[in-house]
Amino acid sequence: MRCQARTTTHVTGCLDEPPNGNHETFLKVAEVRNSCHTTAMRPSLRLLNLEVSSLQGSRTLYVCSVCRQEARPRPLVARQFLRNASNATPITERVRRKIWGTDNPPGLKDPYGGEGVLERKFKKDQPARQEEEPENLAQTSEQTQVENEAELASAEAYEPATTWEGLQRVGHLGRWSDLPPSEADAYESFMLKKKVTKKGQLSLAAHQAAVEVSLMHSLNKPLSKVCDVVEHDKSVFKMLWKCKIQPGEWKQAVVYPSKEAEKALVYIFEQIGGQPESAVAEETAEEVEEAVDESKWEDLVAEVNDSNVPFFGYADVRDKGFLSLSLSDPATKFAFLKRFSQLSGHYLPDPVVHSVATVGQVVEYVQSVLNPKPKKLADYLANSQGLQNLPNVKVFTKKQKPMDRDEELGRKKVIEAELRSRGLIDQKCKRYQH
Amino acid sequence: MATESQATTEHLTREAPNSVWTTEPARATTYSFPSMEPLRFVEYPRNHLLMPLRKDILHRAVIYEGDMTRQGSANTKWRDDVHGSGRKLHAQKGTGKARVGDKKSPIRKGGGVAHGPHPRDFSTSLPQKIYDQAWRIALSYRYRRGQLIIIDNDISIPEDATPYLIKEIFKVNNWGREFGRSTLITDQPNEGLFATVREVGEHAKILDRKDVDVKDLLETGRLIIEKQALDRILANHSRDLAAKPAKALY
Repeated sequence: MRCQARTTTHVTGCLDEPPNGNHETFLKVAEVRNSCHTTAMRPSLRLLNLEVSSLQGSRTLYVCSVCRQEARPRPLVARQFLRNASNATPITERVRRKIWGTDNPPGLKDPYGGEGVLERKFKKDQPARQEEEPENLAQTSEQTQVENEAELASAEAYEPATTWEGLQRVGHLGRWSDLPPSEADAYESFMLKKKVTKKGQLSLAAHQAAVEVSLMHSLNKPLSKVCDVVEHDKSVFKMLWKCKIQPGEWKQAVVYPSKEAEKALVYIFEQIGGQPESAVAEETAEEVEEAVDESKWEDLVAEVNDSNVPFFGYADVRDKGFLSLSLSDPATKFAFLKRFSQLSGHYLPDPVVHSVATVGQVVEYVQSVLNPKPKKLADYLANSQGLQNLPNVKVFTKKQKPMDRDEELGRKKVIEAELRSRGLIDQKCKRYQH
Repeated sequence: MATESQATTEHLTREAPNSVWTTEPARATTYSFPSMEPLRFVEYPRNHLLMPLRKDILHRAVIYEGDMTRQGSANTKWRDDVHGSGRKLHAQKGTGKARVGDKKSPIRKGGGVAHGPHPRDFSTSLPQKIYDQAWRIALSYRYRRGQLIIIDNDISIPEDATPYLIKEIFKVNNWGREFGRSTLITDQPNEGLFATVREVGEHAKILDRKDVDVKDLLETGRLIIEKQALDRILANHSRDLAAKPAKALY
């Protein structure tokens, strides 16, 4: 309604009374009349610019919507204008060229008298902004130059990837699994991280634990301190390995291979709990090696220098005396089991801990856990030696059908081929039915 | 008949076997948490960790807990609760239509729900002494199967540890999913630890003592419980042991 009122006033030019009693509207319309009547008489293309600039920036000069509507070019013209908007030559220049019929028409470049007031004003703001930018650019130009050079240098060595493999992963959802583990994630386990599974190695662990605990017994030291030294030096281990265990009291259980070995081991284990032994053992160990003749046992030792191999490549124990050592004393049992789990990586659950009475039972239990009884009866029977040795008994893991008998006798293929040829079984069917 | 009589006489002449009462307490090993180093042997009374298995009591306890945790918040509007008038929609006779009551009838669209649910309390009751027994039976069951791992210190991890650490601990100790998952029980809630462990929910479950139920004790492959929490659970659930038979005072 307001817009209509305005146009009517404009057309008639009677502005003596404010329409609808709205004083503000009236004032505005009066202003419009002053500014518009000059231009509204002759709508030219220059008004296009005027309209654009009035929309963009200055609000001081008001152009009424009728003037703008009139000045707006017809759709065809507008399209042409748009199409040529990207051209460098302005439309006035092209019109002049067309009129004169040459590419270099004589006369002023802009026959309409140059830019309008608003255009000039609008343009004045822009160069000011553009001037500021070069200053900033000048400051950073040196840096960018250096960077550009570096980029150019790297660009020469750049090879575009054809697959995603090997590329750095950029961007993720921020889940913990997208990030690498932190330093605090290192886990120090008390027991061996990779469990010992071989029977000989289990015995070695039990033997070593038994010898060490009985040594601590004989030295009257706190038994659990044996765990302070996780892994002994190879020479020390060899001495421990050569020690035999006499079933009976833990205090007198160890039978040393020689006097020198006894001295060395006692010396070493005296220090456990205080400071760990290191070089002390080695000099004595060499003497011991010469003194004892162990050619019989050499074949048990696989010469492996790799430090990752448990028990330095030793495969089995020399004697089985330690298996009958009693574990009735809770402190001894605790120390032994602690050391055993440290060396072997196997824990015994609580009820088992309190049911085992000897070292042998411990080893037995761990072996039973490692080699559980087969869950299927057929597997159990198929593996039993007693049944396998019987001449008139065969154990199958599957139920035997007549087809299996045919296969055993070697006539299955013949039967199948004959059935197929007579079309009695499906061509795709793999098995025939009896 | 002759053989039967013979058998009975033999039975009579045979000596009655002496019943042997073992009074040995339940012994368990305690460990230090992240490294799982055995620290010492601890003892618990037989009526704490060596209770005979009573599946019926465990069943009652689990049902009791399940009933207690039911929300029971389902709610509907019966015909009286629906907003609207009780006006008869049309006259009883003379319209040719079936007789009707008001708009809120359950057979009409927008009507009430016939005998629909209302919020209620589903909880059932269980004698306190039986419930206490159930706790100890559940723990005893775990102990006897070697699935009760007692931690002497607090279950905690370094400040900046990530779930990788929990995963590694579970892997080294065979506690993970392929071994039936494990429940960690702490005495006090520890937000950082709980958040970290919950990231690896496929391997681990973590609860603080106040959040534990009998059902939780029976759920996963093993319990890894702080000694303090275990002691408190046992102490809080021994009311049937402490009770003495009533004595006549005269």
